[in-house]
Amino acid sequence: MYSTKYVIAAIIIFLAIVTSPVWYDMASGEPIHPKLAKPTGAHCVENTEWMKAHHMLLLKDWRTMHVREGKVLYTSQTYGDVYNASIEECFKCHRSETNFCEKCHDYMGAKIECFECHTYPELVEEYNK
Amino acid sequence: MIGGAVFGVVIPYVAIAVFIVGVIYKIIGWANSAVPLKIPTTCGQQYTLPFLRRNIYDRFDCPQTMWETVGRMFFEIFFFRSLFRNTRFYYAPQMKYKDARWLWLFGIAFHYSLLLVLIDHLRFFMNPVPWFSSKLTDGLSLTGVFVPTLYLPGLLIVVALALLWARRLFFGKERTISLPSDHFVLILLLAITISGNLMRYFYKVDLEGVKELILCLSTFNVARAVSIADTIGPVLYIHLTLVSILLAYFPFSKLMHSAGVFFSPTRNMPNDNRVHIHINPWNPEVKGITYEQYYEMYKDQLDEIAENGYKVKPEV
Repeated sequence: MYSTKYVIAAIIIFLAIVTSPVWYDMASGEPIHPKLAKPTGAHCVENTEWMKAHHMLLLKDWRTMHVREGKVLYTSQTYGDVYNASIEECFKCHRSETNFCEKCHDYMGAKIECFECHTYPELVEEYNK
Repeated sequence: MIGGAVFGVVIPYVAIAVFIVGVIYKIIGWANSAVPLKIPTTCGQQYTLPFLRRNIYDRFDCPQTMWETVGRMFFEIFFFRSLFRNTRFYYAPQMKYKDARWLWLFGIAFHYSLLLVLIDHLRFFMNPVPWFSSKLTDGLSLTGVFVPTLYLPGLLIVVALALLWARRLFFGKERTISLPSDHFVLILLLAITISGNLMRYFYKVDLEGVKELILCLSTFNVARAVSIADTIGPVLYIHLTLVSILLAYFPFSKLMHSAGVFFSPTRNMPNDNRVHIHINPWNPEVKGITYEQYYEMYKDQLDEIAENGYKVKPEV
């Protein structure tokens, strides 16, 4: 083999980059799944599995319904219950933002845009203290 | 159960294994190939007599020392400098070079988008998410347009790939020299990026499950990975399987130019033939002899010549 030391160094760098998630995940020792706060209600607005993937679209639709079309009530497609089309409706069951929304969003590295304008239970509590 | 295990666990593992082993195999194969001649491309004034001046471009285009060569490799790898010289020669209507540097533009748009998309993808592979990944994602996202935010490199990569493929489809000369493998990788990359964008913006999957699956795979928690794999929607598996195909195909494809650029002798050799001798490794070994040995071999003749005062008369 020619230029052996450069080639070996290149292979080691390649392996380090490709396998970096393995070392990182093993070294960090974080639990594989975040522990989220248990909501109080019986069920969510829609089916839980659907909510996991699509909650941001539901909230966006609620925004459009409420702000632009003036409809304030939303009927659940799964359960037939009627809800206020408002983020406050979420906080009736999900009592904590830091232990629910933020925890999972931090885990995924996804930014929450809601609370740039909206309040959340912890913030209200802190304000009322 | 079987579907999740196959598409979520077996195929990604096999693809990654083929990718790593294949790339190292290729690199070692190239490292074992001899370079019989010094063949750097030279586009500038070589280091020579002191009154022939060399400017900074000459030093990188016709490198003399190791550091000049390192500089040339750096600009080649990070800015695709040799593509920036891309011109075409036209016989008609008049003999003339035309600028074709849009190829450089599409190429650099694609490669840097790919890098940024890969760094963004670290949030699926690393727990907790590394700070640079989330900072970069926030910085390059357009907020307030769509839910979720528009990740610009993810959209740019599709545009750049479409342009690179359109170049091969619609220009006659490029179409003539395009092989099926050229089209295949471009279509595959387009399919991967489009499926990824569709998954981000329209056909949602349970990302929490996706990350859990990937973390289980990366910490070799296979049993848990198999059980989670079934709970995730099929759109992920379209994306993941296409990526697995790409990874497994990578070592045997033209995509190995990512490692090959480091091994290209026209780029990585200094043009210093006048300073250092380049030994061809194919040359047979020549065993020299000392003057003493030579003298021993031809003692009589040499002594005779010395006796005659080094005057050799031809035999008549």
